[in-house]
Amino acid sequence: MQAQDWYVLWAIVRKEWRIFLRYPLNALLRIADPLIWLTPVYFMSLSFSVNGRAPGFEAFTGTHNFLAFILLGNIVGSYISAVLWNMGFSLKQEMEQGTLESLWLTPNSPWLHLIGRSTVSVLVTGLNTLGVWLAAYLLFGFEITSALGPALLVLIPMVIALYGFGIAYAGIVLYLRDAVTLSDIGTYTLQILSGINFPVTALPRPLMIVGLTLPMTYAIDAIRALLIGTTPLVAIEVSLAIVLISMFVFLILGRVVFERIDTRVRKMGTLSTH
Amino acid sequence: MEAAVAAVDLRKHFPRKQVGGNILVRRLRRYVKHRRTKEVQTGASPAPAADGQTKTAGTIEDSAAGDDVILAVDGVSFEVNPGEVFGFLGPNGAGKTTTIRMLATLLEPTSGHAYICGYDVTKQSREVRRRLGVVLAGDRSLYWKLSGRENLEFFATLYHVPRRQIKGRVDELLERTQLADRADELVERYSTGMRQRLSLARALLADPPVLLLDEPTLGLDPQAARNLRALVLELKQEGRAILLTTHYMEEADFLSDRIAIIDHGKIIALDTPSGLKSRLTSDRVFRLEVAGLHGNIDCLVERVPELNIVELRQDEEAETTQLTFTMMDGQTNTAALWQAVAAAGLMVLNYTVKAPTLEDVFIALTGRGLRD
Ligand SMILES: Nc1ncnc2c1ncn2[C@@H]1O[C@H](COP(=O)(O)OP(=O)(O)O)[C@@H](O)[C@H]1O
Ligand SMILES: [Mg+2]
Repeated sequence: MQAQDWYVLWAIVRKEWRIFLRYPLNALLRIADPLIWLTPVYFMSLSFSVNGRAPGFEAFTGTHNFLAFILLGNIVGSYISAVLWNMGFSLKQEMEQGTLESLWLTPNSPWLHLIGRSTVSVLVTGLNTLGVWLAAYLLFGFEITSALGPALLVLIPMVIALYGFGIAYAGIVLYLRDAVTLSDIGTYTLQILSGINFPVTALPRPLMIVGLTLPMTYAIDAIRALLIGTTPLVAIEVSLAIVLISMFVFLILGRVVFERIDTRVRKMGTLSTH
Repeated sequence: MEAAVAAVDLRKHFPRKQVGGNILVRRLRRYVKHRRTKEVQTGASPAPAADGQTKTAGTIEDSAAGDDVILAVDGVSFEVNPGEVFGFLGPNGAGKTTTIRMLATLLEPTSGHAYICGYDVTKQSREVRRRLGVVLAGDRSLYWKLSGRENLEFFATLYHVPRRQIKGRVDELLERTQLADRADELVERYSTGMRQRLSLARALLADPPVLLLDEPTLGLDPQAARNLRALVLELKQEGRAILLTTHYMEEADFLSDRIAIIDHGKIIALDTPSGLKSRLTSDRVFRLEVAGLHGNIDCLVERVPELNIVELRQDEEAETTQLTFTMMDGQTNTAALWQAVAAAGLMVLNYTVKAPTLEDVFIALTGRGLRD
């Protein structure tokens, strides 16, 4: 990346942020979103526990703290949808509103637009994370113990890996032009199989195997082990290595796939919807 | 001098879109069909293309390889020089937009080459985009939730305008496109004309030597269209090469130094406006509307030997006939014409004599009107 690219990226982030704020109701909902899912989880955790403990759950995970388990899973999971959903969906949106071609006409690499756009989404998700933290602290007295630094060390490469994956995925959306269904399928699959709401070890065997091939699973697992002391699937160092390797693999893969598809779309002339 | 825009035998074929049905089933059918055509070809003499109407001699390979294709642009070659307005005139669906999109790197040509300031549009697309200002048809290419100024500032960065110069450049362009007083309003509140001007302002941000304008005055009211045309002429004075498409012949006539008339993806004539008009056999075009002819023009053609019919239109219901024609020598032939009309007992409903327009040229070339 050259200096010019950073300016471009920054301009895209600023533009996205501006537009985000010009739909105030939507912005408010996005920021308040965590409270909406947080409450039922809390009461569910109350109803499942016996004298404040959930023995079955504890056997699976090594922690009795159901709420914290789900909370962390969902926080990490929200980055998945922030990047994935946003990359595909925003591309589709630019396509439909007719601005995609204007962007493609500028002398920049198309993936700068993808990265720029989802950066805003990740920033909002970052705000959400802080909001959830605060809400959980104020409402339920949820406190973070330690190891925040190492947890971020896992989270950040995971988000970067997601970007790589998201770029490939945006290419597929560009080709199939059906962002919503695809995004939903992608996000749900990842959410179910990577153990956001329950331990992957609770999945039926075939699904569990699929879950264990997803780098995301290890990221979530390691973050939980670091922050709330669950029993990790594999050693945390191994998880970190998996996440770091997948970061590079996905970044390269993403670019290759996207560029292939972009060329193909330029052949078919389907950049804009008529 | 190097041409600012050069197209060499540029072609674009689209697969014919099929709506409905399962994509896999369609693929399978296509495959089976493909196998069959192959068998036929290897067996007996080469089979003629299945769908004769869309195929021309040069594209048999294509039709054998896939199935139906749309020949959106079918081998066009032309050059645009700096300081020249080059008009692309043709009816809807002629292939104007497709050509522009290929030059703008948005669409890859099926074959042929195109160069902007010497850079190849497929191989050096980044260099090409740096030198291009493009205004595509339609007014949805801007961010409606941003103000005019915000749009321009955003795109200025994307076009790599040095940071210090952005504000000045944006102000200057807003002034120039008469948007300065509305610059801080959201684009969603702009009129079509204002959006079109803002698109043009955006195209000028990088001070490009080449402008591609696709139907720049489409949907504008007459005053707005006039202003835009004046601006185009100014931009030409600055030495830019301008390629503009239009299906308004008056506009092409007024703005262009040279015009390519395009129909069914092919350039059927390329000349200066006056050069094109001089192709008609006289400097007058006659229109005659009569009743009682029943489409049989022999009685006229026989008696007026130098009559050159440009267009013949029948109105079945009213039983009238509209003739557009030229005559070699207006003076003497007019007398012959009226004698013929009288002899055939025709009733004259309307008669006009005008200087020829590009529309007449188009009709003479294709047998159809531009707006059919
Ligand atoms: N993406 C596309 N896919 C299939 N056909 C297309 C596509 N774009 C244009 N066409 C077809 O190509 C032909 C030329 O279209 P176009 O270049 O838009 O004409 P014009 O701009 O002169 O009106 C038309 O028949 C149109 O339907
Ligand atoms: Mg068009």
